[in-house]
Amino acid sequence: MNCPNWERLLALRETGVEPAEWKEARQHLADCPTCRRVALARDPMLLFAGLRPLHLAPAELERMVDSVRLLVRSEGFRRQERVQWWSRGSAKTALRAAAVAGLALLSDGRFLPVGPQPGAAPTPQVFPAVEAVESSAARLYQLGDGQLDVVLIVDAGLDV
Amino acid sequence: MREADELALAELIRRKTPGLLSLVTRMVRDSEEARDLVQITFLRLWESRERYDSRFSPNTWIYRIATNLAIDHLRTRSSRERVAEPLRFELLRGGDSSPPDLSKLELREVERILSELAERLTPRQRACFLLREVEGLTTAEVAEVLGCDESTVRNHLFHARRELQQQLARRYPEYLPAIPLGGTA
Repeated sequence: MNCPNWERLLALRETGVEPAEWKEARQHLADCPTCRRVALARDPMLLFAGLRPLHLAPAELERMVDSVRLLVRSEGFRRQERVQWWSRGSAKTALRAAAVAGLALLSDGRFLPVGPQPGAAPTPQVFPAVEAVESSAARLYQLGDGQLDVVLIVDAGLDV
Repeated sequence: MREADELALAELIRRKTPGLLSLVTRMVRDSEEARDLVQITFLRLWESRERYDSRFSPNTWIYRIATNLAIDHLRTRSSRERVAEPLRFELLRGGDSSPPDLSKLELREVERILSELAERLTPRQRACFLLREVEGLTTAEVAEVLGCDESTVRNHLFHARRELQQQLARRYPEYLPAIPLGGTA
């Protein structure tokens, strides 16, 4: 490209018009010291027009690719887990069971960590889990008298 | 990329990372934060690929995500670091008695000046200036990226340019003896 008329180009730009040859003229700035002096004297902000994208080594680009791939997969996996958990209804079961367990605790305090009181009924034994409740994260227990089923959520990482 | 092709995503990352990283680094002025934001840009791109609106060019779409992330990041960042003035110190140390020439500054030094001066701009002003004056987008393209009118872009640019020129004249007067304070946009 021949050296453009910077006065005309910059006057047009100041009115909000984008001259058709502006992109080419901008690239020309990097190659022509004379044009750089003339253009910068007219508009010092053109100083920053010469900045180029960062150069990244191929290894750095591949690290970015790997990082994003990991991010995409971990986000996708997290969403899939949440969808599966809710869609199987096991979350609702666990919530109901947790509410029951909470009521059981509040109603007679049989599971509170206090010593046996004189004349009090013997502390009920908690038997091993009867069964898992649709998930490895929850266990169904029955109290010794078999009158109350309690589901305990045993996975601290479970998102309910 | 709509067809959930990870190879296409990887290729897009290789092509677009240098430009995006440059833009975001210049916006947030922190290379580590910029890398995180660019990664999130590609993640958001991937997650929203089904909703891509073909009225926008792919470039505009990518720049829009990255710019919005950078603007949000700037707004929520709790503290700002003051950039030292290493360039000025280097100039003072120089033995050359002739007036320094703006047209001969090395790109590395230009980056420092921009980083220092752009600190005074609002996030939107900074985005408009970088997209138009550094990245070379047209006013219409900048408006598409930022999701606003061209008149709003021109307004932001006017204020950004005025502030930068004033700061340039104030901090580096040896470069601009002819530029008065409040010079033209």
